[in-house]
Amino acid sequence: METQRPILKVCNLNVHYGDIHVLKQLNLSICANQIVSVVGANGSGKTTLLKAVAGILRPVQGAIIYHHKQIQTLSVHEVVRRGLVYVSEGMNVFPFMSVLENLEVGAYIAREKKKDRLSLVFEIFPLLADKLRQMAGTLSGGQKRMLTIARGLMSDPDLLLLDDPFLGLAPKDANRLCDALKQIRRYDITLFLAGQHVRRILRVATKAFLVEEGKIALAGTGEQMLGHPHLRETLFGIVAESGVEIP
Amino acid sequence: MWTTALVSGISLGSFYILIALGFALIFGVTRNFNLAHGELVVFAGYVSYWLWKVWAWPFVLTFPVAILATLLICLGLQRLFARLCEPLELNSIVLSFGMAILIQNTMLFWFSGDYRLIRIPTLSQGLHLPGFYLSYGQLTLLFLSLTVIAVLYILMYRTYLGKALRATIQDKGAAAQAGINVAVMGTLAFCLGAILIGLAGPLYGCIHYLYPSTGHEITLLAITITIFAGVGRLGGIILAGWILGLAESFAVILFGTSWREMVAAVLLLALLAFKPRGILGKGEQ
Repeated sequence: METQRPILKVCNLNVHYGDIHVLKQLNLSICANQIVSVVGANGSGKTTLLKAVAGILRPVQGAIIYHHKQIQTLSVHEVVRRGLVYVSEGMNVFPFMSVLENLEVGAYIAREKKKDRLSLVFEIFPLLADKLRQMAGTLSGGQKRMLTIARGLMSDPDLLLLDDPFLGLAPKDANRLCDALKQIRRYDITLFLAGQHVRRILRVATKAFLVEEGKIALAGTGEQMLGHPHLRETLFGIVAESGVEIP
Repeated sequence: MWTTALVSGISLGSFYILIALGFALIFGVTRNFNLAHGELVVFAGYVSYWLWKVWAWPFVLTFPVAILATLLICLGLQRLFARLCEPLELNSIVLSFGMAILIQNTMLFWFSGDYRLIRIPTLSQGLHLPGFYLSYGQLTLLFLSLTVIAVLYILMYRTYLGKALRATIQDKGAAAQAGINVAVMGTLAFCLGAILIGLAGPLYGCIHYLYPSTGHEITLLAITITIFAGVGRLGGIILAGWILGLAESFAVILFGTSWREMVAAVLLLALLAFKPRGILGKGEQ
């Protein structure tokens, strides 16, 4: 996988929230057709990294290079038009629009491909096909999460950024989403995940990073990272001492 | 009598919808609470009146000029709103309150404080049908309002642009993440709002006396209907406008004209007490 072309490069990225320096000289690169995961403790800078890449946060210093072009000064909608789509951690659907309308809004910049994208979305999330006329605000948490990811897929992305995709999902829905993520990768879409559900996120990852205090502390495959003593100590430390496994 | 009240209520309600849609659209997309909305409607009415009365333009031809005038003012207003910091709603109230006073005094200076009415003789005549009477004025009001509502409904529910506007109203951040340029949506909302104001102004001048300080009544009406509907609910605005129009029309017949404005206030208070999320609020989570 590493020999493939890198589609995203983050070089010496520095992002501040007011006076707080969150990302400090952060570097990473992502190749096409990978599932890349970023894990780390609360406040380590995972969401900040994704938001900076998506154009929601403006870096103070550093470069974000996507398909050989710098994108760190672009606004969110311009970033989306280049094929880089961010799905935030909240289940923020458009509540007073139907499921179909939500998906159509997702296809706002890829209208000519709407039919193809809809069939792709229904293949990955067949449940949504049965609820097309239902108001999105009345869906369950898991269904809303599926809809936000499906809406992201409607924009015809090359790189899909998913912030904490398993947040608030029941185990059954989380398993279903894991399968969906693997399925999405088969459609030449690169996935960049961040979140707190470390085991799940690392199990689906082909490449992973551990972020600590705004810097990349570890990198490797998902399986390598899961077995790494530093990651186990940093993220599972207290639980490991008591001998209790985190599900 | 009851049929007359029904038709006149729907006619009045449709006009209220026309007035409220512009306000609700601008507020929904940009979160700018435009207290100068009513003054802009009155200003459009004055522009139409002046062209019709002083320069003897046909009434129909005054609409494009009224629309153009409000469009220019609204785009200028948008520039000012764009400079505001958070909390946008509160700051825009202060700014637009100042603008309302400025527009009121400009109208007082240009058009004086005299009462003006666009009195078109044909519009005062009407149809005497079995059981009810309908003036051509009411019929024109009903026809134009329903046409505009239908066009706007098709735009908002059947086109990508309209869906993008509705998405921006419901969640600006998520809309941007779907590739929608929310700044352009803001400008579009102001332009659509200006067109609606430019259409409503001359019609208002036909059914109501124009004087510089009448704008606050219109603003209050627009706010009432927007709260009634729930922000971002176009269907709710249509329903709320008709309910308000019908309630006022029946109140006039049952209790007299002095009860007309009281009905709107009572309905708003009742709604806030029993359905605070708006008239169509049951599907929300």
